[in-house]
Amino acid sequence: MRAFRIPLSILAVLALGAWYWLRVPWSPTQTLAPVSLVAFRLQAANPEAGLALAAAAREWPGVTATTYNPSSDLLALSFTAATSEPDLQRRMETLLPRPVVKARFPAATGPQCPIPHGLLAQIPDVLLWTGLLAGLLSLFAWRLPRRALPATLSM
Amino acid sequence: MSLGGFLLACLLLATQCKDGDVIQDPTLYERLGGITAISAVVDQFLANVVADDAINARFAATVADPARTQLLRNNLIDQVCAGAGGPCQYKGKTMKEAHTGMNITTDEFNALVADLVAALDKFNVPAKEKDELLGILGPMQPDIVGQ
Repeated sequence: MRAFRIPLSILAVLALGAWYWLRVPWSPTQTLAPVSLVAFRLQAANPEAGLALAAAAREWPGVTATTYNPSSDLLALSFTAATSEPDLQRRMETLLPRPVVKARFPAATGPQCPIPHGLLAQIPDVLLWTGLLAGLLSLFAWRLPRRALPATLSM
Repeated sequence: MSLGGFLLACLLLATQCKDGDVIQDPTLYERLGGITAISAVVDQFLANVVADDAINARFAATVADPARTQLLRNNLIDQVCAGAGGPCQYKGKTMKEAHTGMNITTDEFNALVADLVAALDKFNVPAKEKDELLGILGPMQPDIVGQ
């Protein structure tokens, strides 16, 4: 373990340095509850029905914003973890006389990052915990006593 | 004069308004209603965009990935908050970097602005604050369109 004290120390410094460089400075935005977006095709009988459903949906728990666009027949919702897409769909279908379909958009063209964004977002936390753990282990390794030579070798 | 009276006098002397002191006007951030109000407008704006067939395909990958949705939403809030003089720091890419290779058209940009205006109108944002906010975001068009 003592032999690893220098590599652990270097790892701790590098990881914490990388974390500091990549970290997201604190912003009041980070106090806000995360939201997700979803859109449903209503096949509404008329625009008024869609607008009424959007107004009703705005009052559902967890929903932060709704829009019904008559030209696209899409009802879009922004919602927190207090609700879910299946729950929203169920609530809509109790108010409409027909099933609603989740909107599927054509695949976007243009530059795409090959790495899932959720993975990228975890990197600063991984670096921080790696640096802290390596730092603790290196402190422990530095404090270990040198191993005494066996009596037979010291003769 | 007691010690308390002396300290009170010193405090009053130190904090009195002097000639030339200016009472700061509230910032656009404060007039908009702070972070809670800005986040409500941004959520409404994003819902408007997702329901808009003119541009929602551009956001398909973002809508499908909750992490990307959260990043876009937070970046938009930070951008508006910081531009309005609030205590936020925009940490995303520049507009030019973010839109390079996307070939955004003027019609698409105008559709996006219309969705933003609709969100501001939904929350009855006064005309003065609306114009100030659009004045901050409008100059970004050259960095977004045609890149």
